[in-house]
Amino acid sequence: MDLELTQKISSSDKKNSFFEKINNSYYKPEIYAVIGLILLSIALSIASPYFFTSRNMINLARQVSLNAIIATGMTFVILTGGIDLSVGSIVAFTGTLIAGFIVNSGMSPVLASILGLALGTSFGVFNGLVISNTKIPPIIVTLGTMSMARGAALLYTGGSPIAGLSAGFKFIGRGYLGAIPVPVWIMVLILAVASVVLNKTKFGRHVCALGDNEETVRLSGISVKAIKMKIYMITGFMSAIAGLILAARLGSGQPLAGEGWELDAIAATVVGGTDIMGGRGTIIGTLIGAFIIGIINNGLNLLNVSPYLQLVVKGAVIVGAVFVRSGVVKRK
Amino acid sequence: MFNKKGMVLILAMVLVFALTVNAGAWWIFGGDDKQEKNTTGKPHEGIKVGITFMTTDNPFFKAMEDAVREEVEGNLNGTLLVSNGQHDAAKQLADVEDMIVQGIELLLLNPVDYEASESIVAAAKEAGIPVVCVDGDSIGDRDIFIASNNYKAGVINAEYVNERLNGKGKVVVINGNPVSAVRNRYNGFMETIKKYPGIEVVAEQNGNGKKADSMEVMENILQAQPKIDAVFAINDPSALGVVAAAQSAGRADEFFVMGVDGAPNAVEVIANNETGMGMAATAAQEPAKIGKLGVEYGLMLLDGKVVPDELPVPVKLITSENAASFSW
Amino acid sequence: MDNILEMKNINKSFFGVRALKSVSLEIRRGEVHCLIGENGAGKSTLMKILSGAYQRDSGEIVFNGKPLDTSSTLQVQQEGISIIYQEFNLASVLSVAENIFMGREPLNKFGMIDKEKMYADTQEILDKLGVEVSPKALVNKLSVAEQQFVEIAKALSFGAKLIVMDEPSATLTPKELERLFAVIYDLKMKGVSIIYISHHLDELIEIGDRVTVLRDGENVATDDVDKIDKDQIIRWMVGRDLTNSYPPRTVTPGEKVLEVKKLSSEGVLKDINFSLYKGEILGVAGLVGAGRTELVRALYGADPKDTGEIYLNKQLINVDSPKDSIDHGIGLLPEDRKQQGVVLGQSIKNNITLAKIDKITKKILIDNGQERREVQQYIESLGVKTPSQEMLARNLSGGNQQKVVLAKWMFTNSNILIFDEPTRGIDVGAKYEIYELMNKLTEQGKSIIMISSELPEIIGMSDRVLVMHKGRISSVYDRTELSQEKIMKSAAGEVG
Repeated sequence: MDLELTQKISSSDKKNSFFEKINNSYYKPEIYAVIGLILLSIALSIASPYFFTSRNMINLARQVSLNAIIATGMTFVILTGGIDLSVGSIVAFTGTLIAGFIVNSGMSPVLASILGLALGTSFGVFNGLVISNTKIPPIIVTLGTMSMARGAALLYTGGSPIAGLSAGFKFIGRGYLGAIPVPVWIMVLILAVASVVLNKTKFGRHVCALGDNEETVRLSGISVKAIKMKIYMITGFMSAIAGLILAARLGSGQPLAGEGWELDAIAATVVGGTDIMGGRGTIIGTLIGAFIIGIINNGLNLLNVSPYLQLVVKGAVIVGAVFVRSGVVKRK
Repeated sequence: MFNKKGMVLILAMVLVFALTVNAGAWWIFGGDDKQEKNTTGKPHEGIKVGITFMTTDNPFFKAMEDAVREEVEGNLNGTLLVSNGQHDAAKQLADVEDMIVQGIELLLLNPVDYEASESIVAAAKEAGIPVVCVDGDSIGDRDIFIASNNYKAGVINAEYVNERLNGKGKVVVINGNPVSAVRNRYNGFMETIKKYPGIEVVAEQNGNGKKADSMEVMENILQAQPKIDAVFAINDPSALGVVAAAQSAGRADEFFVMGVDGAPNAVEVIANNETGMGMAATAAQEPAKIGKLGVEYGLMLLDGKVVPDELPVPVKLITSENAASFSW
Repeated sequence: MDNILEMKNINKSFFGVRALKSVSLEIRRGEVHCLIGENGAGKSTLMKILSGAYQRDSGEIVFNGKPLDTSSTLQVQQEGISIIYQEFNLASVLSVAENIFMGREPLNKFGMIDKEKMYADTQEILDKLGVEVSPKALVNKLSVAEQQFVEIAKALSFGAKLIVMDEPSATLTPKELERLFAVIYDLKMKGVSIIYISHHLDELIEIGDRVTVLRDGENVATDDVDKIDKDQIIRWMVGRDLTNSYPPRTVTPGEKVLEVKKLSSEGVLKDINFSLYKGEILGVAGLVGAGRTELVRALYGADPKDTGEIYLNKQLINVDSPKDSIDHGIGLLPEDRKQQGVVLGQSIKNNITLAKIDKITKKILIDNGQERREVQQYIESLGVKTPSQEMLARNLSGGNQQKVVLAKWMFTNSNILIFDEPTRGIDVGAKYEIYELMNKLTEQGKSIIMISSELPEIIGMSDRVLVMHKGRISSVYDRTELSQEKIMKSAAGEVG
């Protein structure tokens, strides 16, 4: 009977459809995002002569870099089945703090950045502490933090942006190393590290398993609390990095910066193939997702489409992407 | 079998569909075909101009956009690219970067933020594009700043308050996000009102320049303030939000409200105002004129002519007496 | 004889895989027809085609003398066929009556729901069934069996002439099962036909008139239950003889490896004392709610305990969390395999190494090659049937999932394995494999604690048996003195 069953399984496997194979993880979930990115790029190259130029590609990569960095943190959170709405506010908080430390308190940019990143990350730590130690759902906790961090940024600045940053500091946001903008280098570095962490470390494995089945993970002797703590800290840190770069890019700390960015980060993550219910997803998928979201903004701008219609298209793409994926999953 | 052939077929169909739709979009939204239209030899014919607003949620900017479009696409047979900054300095920067990629020759900038727009101006200048700031200024190295005399708008409102209250009363101020235009209106009002010691500013809150937000903060102020004589709001939507809050609190006849802008719906309310309370006055700007001047001075810059650093455009106070004859 | 349903030469393929190969099925009026087969044999596909959830590729369905319109599930329901799935289709916060009449509530002359009539009609149906449930009771306050009766009542309210029951006994206690059988018998007397799907051969023989066996999408046999026996059915199901249900135990237990003293947990466990020996399988029997699962969870550190000492190899050890257990070489294979044993959405490989990734980690990075090699060894030694270690656990059968959980604990070098209901929901053939694995493990010197509600399994596999009753150990039996009767009495609290 052993032989018979084995044959049955292996033969039926050969006949599995393309869709089923994807769900059996023979193929990666981000394949749809890759297809989508290619189609979008081809279509835009034909529709606009400005799209596929090296100038626009560099421009696009720089525009995408911040969302990609935040979405990397968001990927970890969503992989565990959580969500973090506070990222945009942490961007503003960190940016204004660093600008304030440099301009108002006269700190050295390096010290101000380190201190700002630490304080920005502390909101992530707060999220992690509350979520791992209470039963309050992440969406509520981070909604609260979203408001607190925004309020802290407004309080600290009194509502006005803080300007007057040095050229050296602005280099982080506006400079180039070779032909590539500095924020793009930072993005590449962060995503490479995150990808290794997710695929090649114990922590990464635990994160994925946790999103799928918390109880099994707990019974496998793994501290669920510690993992949750860490992932919200990571997202807070990523947001803080984005806040630092944005302050450098805008040359000022903006208390109202980053509004709605949590949605772009979530969109990039799910469009990139991460399962919103947790458990499956990749960093490279998220990068592609961020590029898709970025290309929609950039491409529709190039096509001179009404800004209002752009919002509609962006929303439709997000829902469409998730629909394609869930539709495929349902086939099972 | 369904497998590979099926997938290839689906992919091909999606591709064809996407291309058709986008090719369509190219015609509908106007691609790059207008570049080649420079035929009659008129100076600057076929020019490509970019304009970016802090938001397009305000009819003020709509009026300005229409005037600029008339100049660029109507008179010069050119192309106008429009961006909505959505109150997000980073988005506005990204939009302008996209415009530069598309080869705009002139940028009209209405910045989301005075300071953060420095990077926008820098990006445009780096690409050799002159920058005309309209309605809001930038800390960056822009070529000219054209706006209503916003400070004056605050001043004439303050003087109107003093006149109507005979130098004595309690006033509420609904502020907005501190972009230069808002700051100037606010400063103009506050510095003038200080001259009248009998008039006291009893409350001051930020309504984000929006009707809904202003209504909300006014509702809170109404709870705290038993007696109010007048309200100054930094723009018309905020002023209308204040009026709405007063009405729902049953205090519509207690005080009068002033705005800035001269927005059509505000002007209409003022024209029909019979009690003198509620929406009573606005310091009207002329956005179409600002837009037209923006294009005019922008072209002068392209021609290498010398222009002033700032160009204030006068404002005038609209009350129920002259409202009927005013329009943007 | 008069057939209510005739399904003829039904074919169905999914993406080129033939799930049903020309299957025919005839159901007589007023009979209980049992449908049996291993997972994947085609039972549920066939029933989904009957219900209208799937459309057949070819074949014919005649119901009540006329061709059946299976274009939608609602249509089929209105024709008089109701299907009761394992997961009930009830709204838990609504009342019994509201559930039964959902979507077709009787209205009064004002167009409002006529609650009086709805309750009265519901009462009438429940009375007919001989079920004592209030029409006004909320469904979430009912026991599983009572919810099942509500489903049956709902079916009857549609005027069902044929009711399909998919694994109705899976979550029922023996008492509740008796009531279900009484209801089924009653329905049969009233001329309603039943298709009864179950893994439990004993039930089929008790309640069924005829049985149909499906294997690999084909109808292998249909026969009167009276004319055949269990062995025959198993032969049909697995396509060969299964001479013994349980492999013989050959290990002689050695020295004491684990001793539990005075383990108590408020309201759950009282003064538990027992020992486990090297190479032993210690059975834990008892009724549902006797505290068996609670005992092993407390032992494992999954739930807190109030008092108690645990000695491993005569050393007192501290077990406050699953991690402590794992560090001491104890592994738990939980009863609820899908929710607590495996991570369904992860690969076999990731499941197996989940609890001790450090073992395959060099510095901070996982050594993929080493991981694959080690995992492959477990897949081969345990006989996990899969084309690839990247296959998601979700796609495995219950038996193979259980092997993956077992592999996980072997990977952590567990010496003590706790099996909670090791073969629940697992096919007959795969069960035997699990038993063989348990024997092999004990031959290698590992010790096993096995909770089971199936007395034959307890008797067939255990070297010693603890019987629990109301949170206490009521008696301990050696293999030589075991009988079903003794265990039952002890579990019911009549001994010790």
